Amino acid sequence: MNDNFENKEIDQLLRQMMPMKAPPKLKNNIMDQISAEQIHNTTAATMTIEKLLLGLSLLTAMIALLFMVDFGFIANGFTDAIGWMNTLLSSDQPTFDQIAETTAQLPAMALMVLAAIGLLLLVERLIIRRFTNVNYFV
Amino acid sequence: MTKDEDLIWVEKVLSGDTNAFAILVERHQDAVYTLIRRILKRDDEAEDTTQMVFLKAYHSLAGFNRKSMFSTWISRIAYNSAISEYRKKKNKVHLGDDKLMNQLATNLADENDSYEKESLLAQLETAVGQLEPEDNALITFYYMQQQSVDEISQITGLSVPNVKTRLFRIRKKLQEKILQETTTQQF
Repeated sequence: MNDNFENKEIDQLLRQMMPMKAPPKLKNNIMDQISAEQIHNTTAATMTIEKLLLGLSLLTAMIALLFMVDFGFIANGFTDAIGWMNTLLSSDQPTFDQIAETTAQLPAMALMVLAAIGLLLLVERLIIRRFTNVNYFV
Repeated sequence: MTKDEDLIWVEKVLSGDTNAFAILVERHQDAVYTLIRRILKRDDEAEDTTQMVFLKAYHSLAGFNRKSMFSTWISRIAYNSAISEYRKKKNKVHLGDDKLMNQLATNLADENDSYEKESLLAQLETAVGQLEPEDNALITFYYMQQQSVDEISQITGLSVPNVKTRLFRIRKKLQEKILQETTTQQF
């Protein structure tokens, strides 16, 4: 090789390099794995329907959760509020204690509702990741 | 290979024709395998990772936005997967895999070439094999897959000027390695 072996010559040599051949059974292995796993690949046609069904089921679950978990709190809250109003209007009982008691329940109720919504959003995210082929690579 | 041809097969797969994916594998398996083999430098790992890349592509096909070519998209998956795999198994990777060097040197050598040229090509192959995985990938994209600098920029996330600069530096590095090797052989 002569001493003035240039960048351009390397360029020319590199252009002669050939791509390698993939192993002969590679394609079959890939297709076998796809068949074996019975991958549920969401198609463009079913994507919208699946998303609608997912939304509907999550809405139903959220309503059910609110009723099942929080209905008692809501009912108690109403009862307390009505009782407190009756007390305020018809007795001499100090009202500040009642106000404090009712107010003290609000953060607990709010936390329960927020936790329920958070849980549902988490479940939604997991379902979307599993079924809608999110592209993690691009 | 044209963009439209790949998109036809992509649409078929998305509409439920799983067998159409076999065509896409057939068309791109050599390029993907070459890239991964050059980064990982081991046959078994390259084969496993290539399979994994095509399975990932199959799972993610609905997310292929069609703004780029399918070959660019799958190269990007392959590049990211191979680099990630390389980093995971960094300690186990043996640089300068002799089997690869011999195989590629054989590929390179044209029957009519002189012994000197064959020797030069073999030296070049050895030098390329010793490059860092990212540099090796750039050489594979640019010289073996004939990807444009823009496409390489999309795949690797490097800027266009950065790709050009790195290609120049890699050639310079190869040039130095070959000269060094030749000098060592002479003495």
